[in-house]
Amino acid sequence: MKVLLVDDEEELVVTLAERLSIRDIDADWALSGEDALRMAADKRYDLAVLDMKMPKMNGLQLKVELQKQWPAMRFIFLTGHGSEEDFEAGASEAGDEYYLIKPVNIQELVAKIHASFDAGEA
Amino acid sequence: MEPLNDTLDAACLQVFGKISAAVSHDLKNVLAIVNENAGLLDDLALRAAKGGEIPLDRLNVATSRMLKQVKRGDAVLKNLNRFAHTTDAPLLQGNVAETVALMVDLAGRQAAMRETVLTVAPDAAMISTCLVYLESFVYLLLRHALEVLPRKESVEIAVAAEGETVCIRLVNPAGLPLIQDDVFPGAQEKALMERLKIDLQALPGTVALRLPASLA
Repeated sequence: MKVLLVDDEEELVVTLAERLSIRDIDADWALSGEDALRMAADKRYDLAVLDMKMPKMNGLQLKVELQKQWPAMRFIFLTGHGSEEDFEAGASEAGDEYYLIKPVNIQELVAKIHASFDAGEA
Repeated sequence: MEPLNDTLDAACLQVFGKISAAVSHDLKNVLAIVNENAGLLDDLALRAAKGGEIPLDRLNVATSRMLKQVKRGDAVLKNLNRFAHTTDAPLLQGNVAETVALMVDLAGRQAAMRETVLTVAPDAAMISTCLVYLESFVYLLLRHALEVLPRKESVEIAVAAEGETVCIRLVNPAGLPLIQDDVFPGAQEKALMERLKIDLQALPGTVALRLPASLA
């Protein structure tokens, strides 16, 4: 399973990728939507974990672009806000079971990655 | 027509709301990074308990990231605290450039989202005014300019004492408009300008605010 983490907070995605690798999940990271699209053009990812609020291209916009390249790609959204508006936007796009509020519980993220992957396989 | 004080209160409340939202977003990210690095230390400790080695460089990186985020969070809270205390008295004295720099820091998240650089030149000019209204006006102006300017632009801000007045000048080196004059100033900004006796002049690439150095 290949996972792409996208967040403009570098120290967050770097550490999250390291913690996922400890749990045998192969994760790359990108700091912007543009970088993520470049990486996804070269490599197939099964799932992307996207921050909702990023400069230039937000998580929902990035999802649309990634899906053009990889229609079967699965998504999990992260947000720092936890506002009702963000929750509704994320939940309507991904289903509220694939929407997480920062700080993230790693066990919960891993469980959602596996659940999302299993749903994609089914 | 809404009484002036109601409009002023609404403007300040709006600014407090926007700043609180931006600060809470910043602090969420700080906590998220601390959380992941504390978690990483926990992961490594668990590995060591099972007889594995703990690479010292990974420990050092995780702890230095946490310390860096504590400093970042502390700076964010200091700015918020400074802003909150400008409501302590109706009139306060302050350094104008430092007051503007505080609002630039508090608008930092929005500037980063627009990939726009805001800089303030230090200056010794002082002002005695209703600081919370001045900060609110500067913040609303900065937020507006960030929306009006294209991405990846810059705004250079300079302050100067001019006799009995103080001038705050915002300049975009490319000469692009900083305000959309049919939108800014709106009702709230006009109320703040009236209360602070601000004279606003906008030309392409420049906005100049002139206001009394002493409102009393």
